[in-house]
Amino acid sequence: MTTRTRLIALLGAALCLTAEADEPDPTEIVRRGDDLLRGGASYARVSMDIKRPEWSRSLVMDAWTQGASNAFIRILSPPKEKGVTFLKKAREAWQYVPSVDRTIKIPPSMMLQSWMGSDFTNDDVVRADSLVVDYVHAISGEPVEKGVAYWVIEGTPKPGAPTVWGQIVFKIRKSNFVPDRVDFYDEDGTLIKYYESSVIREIEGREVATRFTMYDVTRPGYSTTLGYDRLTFKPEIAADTFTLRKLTR
Amino acid sequence: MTLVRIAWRNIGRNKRRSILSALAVSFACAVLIFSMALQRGSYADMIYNTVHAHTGHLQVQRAGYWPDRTLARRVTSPDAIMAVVRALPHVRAVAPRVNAAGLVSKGKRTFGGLIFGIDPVREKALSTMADVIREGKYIEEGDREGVLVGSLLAENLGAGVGDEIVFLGQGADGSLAAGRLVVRGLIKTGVSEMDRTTLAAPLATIQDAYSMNGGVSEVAVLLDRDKYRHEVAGEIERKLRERGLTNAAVLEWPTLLPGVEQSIRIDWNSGLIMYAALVLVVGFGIANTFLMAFMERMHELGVLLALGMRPASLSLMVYLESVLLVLLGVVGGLAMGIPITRYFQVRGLDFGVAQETFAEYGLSPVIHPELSLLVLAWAIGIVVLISLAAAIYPAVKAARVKPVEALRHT
Repeated sequence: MTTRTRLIALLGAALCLTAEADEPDPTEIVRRGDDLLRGGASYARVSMDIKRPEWSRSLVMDAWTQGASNAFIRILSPPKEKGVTFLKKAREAWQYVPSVDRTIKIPPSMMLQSWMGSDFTNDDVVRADSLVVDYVHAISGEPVEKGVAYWVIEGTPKPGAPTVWGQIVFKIRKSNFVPDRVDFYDEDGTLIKYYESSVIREIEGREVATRFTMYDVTRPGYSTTLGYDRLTFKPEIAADTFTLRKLTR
Repeated sequence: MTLVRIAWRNIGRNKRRSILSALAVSFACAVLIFSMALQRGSYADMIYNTVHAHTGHLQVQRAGYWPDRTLARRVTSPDAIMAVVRALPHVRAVAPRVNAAGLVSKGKRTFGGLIFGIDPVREKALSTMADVIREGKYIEEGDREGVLVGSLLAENLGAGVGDEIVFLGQGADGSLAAGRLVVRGLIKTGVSEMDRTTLAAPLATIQDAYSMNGGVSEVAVLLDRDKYRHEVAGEIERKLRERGLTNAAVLEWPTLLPGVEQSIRIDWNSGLIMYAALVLVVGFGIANTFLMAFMERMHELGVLLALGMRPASLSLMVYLESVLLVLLGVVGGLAMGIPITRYFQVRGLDFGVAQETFAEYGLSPVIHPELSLLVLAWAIGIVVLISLAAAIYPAVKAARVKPVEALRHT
């Protein structure tokens, strides 16, 4: 690299920086919202309520996370699912089912399938940071509703990124970066599902959504609510938590 | 009536010319009859093959099951329904099924699959499931843990006959469905989509794993002839209502296999356009001979007018000649087309060369043309319409003939 190209590159970088300083970077806003729950490490006792026109059921589970890449989940109830474990590392996932004593790797073709019968897909769980890294974000509005200021940010897939949505619209609180609502559109611009935070609490100095629901717009009566009964960002995580061996124990 | 007689005699006056004109119509008509019958026949074979492969002519399902196919919307009393259906005429076989989805795993490999819970004996009578076993054997009655696996899926899983596989899915009540099965046989239908996803396991095993409470997703019904489909469907509905089984719905294969129905309709319609174009070409030929015949007889027509025949009658006479020729042609066309078509309908037409392509679409390489009133009506309709349209021009010209000029015409 010649001195001149280096200089131009530097100048370019400097220009970008000044541009960023003027207005908030939309990707950064989305990332901060995402980091609230997934940044650092966490342990949570989560209850998952799945609603269907024909039935509804609740699952209780323990979940450990480390950054965006590692997660370990153990189902505690109901009895039929007790002991089912789920491990996520980077962009791969495994599930252990005690009744057949088998660890099953979730294949890529199954990523859009429902996770444990809920309205969250394996993809939602496994590639949680996809919404941050695989999309280009732009602020499309800054509404104030009921005294709360929001950013409305539109995410469109980066070319070539392995995304499933045509567009994602985030509505994020300016005060605490909590996403109040996220709309998921397909390639034709049809709303497929949306996520809504219903309870926001302060946990260890962070304001986070401790109860939120995913609604399936295409199928009326389908929704899944996640509630954090316990949540800490300073968990004790054993060294072997995110290993395949841990699944079967 | 006199005009018709005169027209008839005029046709006889130049036999060679008339026969040639009529033959053109005959050939068009015969070709149309044969190709249309061939087309209908290929549809009949296609329907037969796809319906026999799996779907059946009819299915009894829980109302609202189709098209989402949610496991929870199940037929709760399959035995009562099967008893009703089996008692009806034209019903050849009845089979209950659970259509479940799940992950299928062997060792470190996992793939998505569609697991059919089947009654081995009833399924064998209804579908070709037992005939497409390429390795191992079919599931026997009383087997609780056997499974048939699509050949491509088995290949992907690295599973062979005798191996254990595990399935994992979501039951009708949302609970986890899981179980172990032992591969008894590999199925190969030639339709790669099916061979890549299909599994078939004993009904009770799948019912239990998927919390179906003895319910099934569908009761497939096979009839002796497709043409009774609608009638039997109505009959089943009536009988089920009588017995108070009101939440069941009877679906016919066009609903269950919309792709087959649509491709048939598209193919038929594009065929009609093709035939119309073909006959249009023939029509220009016919118009030409009609017009030639008319020009040759200008002097004669002039004489008729000079003798006091009204132009309208003259025009009608010329048109009647064409009509009679077309009718003669159609009769000839039927005389040629019907026997040839019937011959191949019985014997079958073997397109053996393209066997693989045919297999992919669930077709057999032997096609039996199917002669029907529909085919005859369309063939005759198209030919008559276009030939009679072609005959309008000479008739219109006849009305404008000036006697003096016509008499001078040589």
